[in-house]
Amino acid sequence: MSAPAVFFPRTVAEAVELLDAYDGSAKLVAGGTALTLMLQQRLVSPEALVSLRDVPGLGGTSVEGGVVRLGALVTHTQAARHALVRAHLPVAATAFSLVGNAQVRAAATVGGVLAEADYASDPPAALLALDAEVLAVGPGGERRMPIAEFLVGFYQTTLAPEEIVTRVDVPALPPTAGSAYLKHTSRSHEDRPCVGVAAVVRSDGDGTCRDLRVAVGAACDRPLRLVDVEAGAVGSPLDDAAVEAVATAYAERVDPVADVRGSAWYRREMVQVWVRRAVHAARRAAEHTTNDQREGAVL
Amino acid sequence: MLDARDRVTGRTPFVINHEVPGMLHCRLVRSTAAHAAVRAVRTAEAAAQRGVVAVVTGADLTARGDMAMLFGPVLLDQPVLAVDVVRYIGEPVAAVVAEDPAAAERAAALVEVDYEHKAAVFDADEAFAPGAPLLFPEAPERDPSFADVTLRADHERNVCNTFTVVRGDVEAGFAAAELVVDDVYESPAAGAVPLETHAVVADARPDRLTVWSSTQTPYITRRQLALMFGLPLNRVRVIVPALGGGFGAKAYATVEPIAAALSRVVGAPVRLHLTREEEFVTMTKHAMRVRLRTGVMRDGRIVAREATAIYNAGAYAVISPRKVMFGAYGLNGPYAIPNVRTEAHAVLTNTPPAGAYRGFAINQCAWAYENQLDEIAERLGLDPVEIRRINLLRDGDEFCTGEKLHHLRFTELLDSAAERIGWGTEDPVQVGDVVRAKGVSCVIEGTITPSTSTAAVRLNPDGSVDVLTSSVEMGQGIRPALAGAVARRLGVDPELVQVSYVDTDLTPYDQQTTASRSMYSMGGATGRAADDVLGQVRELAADLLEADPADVVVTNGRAHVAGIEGDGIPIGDVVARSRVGNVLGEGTLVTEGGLDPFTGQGIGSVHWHQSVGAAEVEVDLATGRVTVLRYAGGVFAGEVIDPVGAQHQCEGCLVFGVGNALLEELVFDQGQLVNGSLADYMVPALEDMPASHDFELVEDREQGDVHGLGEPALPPIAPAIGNAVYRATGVRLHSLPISPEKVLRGLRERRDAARRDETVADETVEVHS
Repeated sequence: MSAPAVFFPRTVAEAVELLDAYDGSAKLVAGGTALTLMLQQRLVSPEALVSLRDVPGLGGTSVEGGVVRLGALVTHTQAARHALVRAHLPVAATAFSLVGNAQVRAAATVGGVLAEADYASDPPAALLALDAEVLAVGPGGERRMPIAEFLVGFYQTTLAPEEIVTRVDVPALPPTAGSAYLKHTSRSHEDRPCVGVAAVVRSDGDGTCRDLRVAVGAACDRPLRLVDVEAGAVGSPLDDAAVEAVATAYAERVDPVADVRGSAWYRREMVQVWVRRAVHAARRAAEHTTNDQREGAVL
Repeated sequence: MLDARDRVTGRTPFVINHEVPGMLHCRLVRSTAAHAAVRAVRTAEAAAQRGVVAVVTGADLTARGDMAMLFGPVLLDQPVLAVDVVRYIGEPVAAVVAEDPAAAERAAALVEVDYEHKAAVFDADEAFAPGAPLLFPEAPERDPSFADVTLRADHERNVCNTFTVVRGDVEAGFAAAELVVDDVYESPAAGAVPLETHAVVADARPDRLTVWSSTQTPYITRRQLALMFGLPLNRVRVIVPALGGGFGAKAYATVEPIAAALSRVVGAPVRLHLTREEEFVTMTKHAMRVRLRTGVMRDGRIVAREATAIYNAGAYAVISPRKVMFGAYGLNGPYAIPNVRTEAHAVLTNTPPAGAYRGFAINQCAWAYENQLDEIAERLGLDPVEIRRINLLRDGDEFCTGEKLHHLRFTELLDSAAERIGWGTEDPVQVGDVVRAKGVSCVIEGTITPSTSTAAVRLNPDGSVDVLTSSVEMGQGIRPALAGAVARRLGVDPELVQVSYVDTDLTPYDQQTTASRSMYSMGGATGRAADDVLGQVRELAADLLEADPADVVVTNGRAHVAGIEGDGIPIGDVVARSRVGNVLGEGTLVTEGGLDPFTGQGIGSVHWHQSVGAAEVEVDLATGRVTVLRYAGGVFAGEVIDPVGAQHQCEGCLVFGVGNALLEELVFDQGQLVNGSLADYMVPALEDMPASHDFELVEDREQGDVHGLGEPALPPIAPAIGNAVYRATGVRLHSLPISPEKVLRGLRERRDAARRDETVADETVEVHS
């Protein structure tokens, strides 16, 4: 084992070339928060480190055609504070704002957290609830994957070793939607989530649910969405009993992990509690937005 | 304030920044086996790497024949590098010395070790049971100079020491008791997690050894190294700059023997700085399990206590042989109990060595007895504060050691803490899923006794003052505190006082910087040294003032004839005009005492730390998560020298206490630490701390003692939180930490039990109707 070679390519294409040349034995460095830990604990021993530090164009946030584009090098702090994210993807802004601590958030990136695919993480669940798409560039050019297909298991994605996440496209929530991300830590506040739940709710004026999305993070190998359960709630009022039924369905169908943050039993219990709480919170937020809009209409 | 500018500008000296010309770097190869014979250590490939100077094994060191291979403060049981056998995962087996740290690390990964695994034992109760695997088939020798610990070792049961306290007639006490409560309580292993990990630079010459070390025990380390290398004490020089935290983990030699031995092998200075992961397996807090049986009368008086505590010492004894003394008397708590038999065993297991840790054995005791006392109160229908008032030691009472205690302020401390937390108001209060409640606890803790500190105070001709001390500055603020104390004694501006770092060639003997002893012992020694200076100044000033020395006094830094203040001479001028160069005062403070290890009778502590705590917590009944909302502590401080520093020490204790109560636990799987990194091991973050806290420091200036404040505030914290959680939830946990999952399980068990009771009640009704 020797110290890895370190590269600072100037373009995405150069970075892809380097990754390709190392054929799976190079690691890409963005914020470096997760990779540094893995290197220190010798969980990985790459031959080369390819830094994205000098690659321009990956750090922007914009909105186009109702889709918020988050550059891969946007940091968690930037994502949490950006006006576009807060306005159109509040649930993502919250999730990014709750990761680790200020030091970690200042370094960790949007692309990094998705490519790492750590199950015990906040942003992936929020982005899954938002139906985000991941853009990646490889030797064959660019491709686009729904996040549900991108995240496939514990620390596993469909990203090829020579591919680079360049952007995440997230459809803006309609203004009438309410959303919430709730993080449950079972140890320190700065710990990774034991369970994190993102929920999006949109209802008609009469309370009939028009859209429900619930993504549970950190409870199993990858964020969990049960689209049939979500769809089942649409068309009727999202009252307390309906919310409880959704929470129960997630708790029953999750295949929970056991780790230092909680046993499988505890995780299942927490899925029930936090799905309930997150959907309630999203419903309340939806009611507020609806009320705000009615008031706006009067004015 | 002394130190403040250096700290904020990054100029405080630490060993990790110390460089010596020609210095080489070391990386250790550590055992991956929990208990095994070392069959072969293959070093050739590592040794052939570029930049590698030497790869050294325990066998290599043994073959040299010029150093002892075993060290330890009480028992000579710990090998510098493993010889023939390894006893825990993480034990140093070989060392690579290289020109730079990266080369050392690369080569260390290439060393291969063949192990022949032996039966291992990780749980202390299992190690204590008959037929358990033995860590030491033969008894290790003693370090000859550690005479104040009497050993009651039992190698057949992996016991490195046992201590027993016996008072009154415990059987009669239980026979008379109207209620007996008998339970088992557990505290897990934990890490002290100093920000600076262990670091050392050693420079061994044939007839001399110099060590720059991050140790809390410079003079003990000097003695340990002198013994190991067969050198006179004055040929071993231990230099200790500031430490980035110690908390007990840096007491007694750990990395110093390794670096010193390697320096001798390679003939150059060697630096060894542990990684965070290594730090976690270098020194731990003892896991402890205690069976605690207490007999009480209906009116709440405790009449009997019997306890057997098993401290998990890890693979090597370190200071466990002394710890059991604190562990045995500590189980009595601050209560007047007439009939007692409490016993503590330190038991070796195949886990990393356990050593000193802030609160030295008392945290584990307090968690048990304060937890149980609340349970007793509930069963007797007594208020938790009231049952403590009934039993707390009062002036003139005898402690379990037979000592008659004075200057006791427990009741006052408890009443104040209870008032500040709002005890007696509505409790618990539930809003939605969240319920709030309060808890209290009281703790007694001794300081190391007997003990010795010496110091010198030097008055210069310009009036500036040097304090020469071997107390270690580890962030606790001993240097500014001593500067303040000496300045007060001499009547000079604290800005004029400098306090040394430690250099055993230059600064006088001090036993160790542990046990919250420095402000008492070193404060006493420097006070006496300052008095010595004043005495000499009076003699010199008498000549200058043409007066009788008996008539000369020093007031506000000026020597003058008593009653004639205006005529005085600044004490610096006394030095200058007398042409003595400087006035050098010496002070020594030796405390006497000690306890019989079979009965625990004698003098346990030169003074006793008295501490109470009251916590208000909030529990989420749906998740089990506990939040500490407020904390009110109280400590008898004797006299406070540095009010800001004193508060900071208590706040530091609060961080430790909240961590111990809610978060911290070293988790092992077959001897393998599974959360040995700061990503996995939780220490409290700012948001985990209570939103408000206050510590009352009760003083008694007439009495004149200065008590150390490094530890006393800590032990009451976890039980106060645990008792509050119980009042909030009805869930009484007997093991730390109080994790959300344990609380939730407890809530579910209570719910299920209540349902069963309802069912039974329904059936009963049916039968009778």
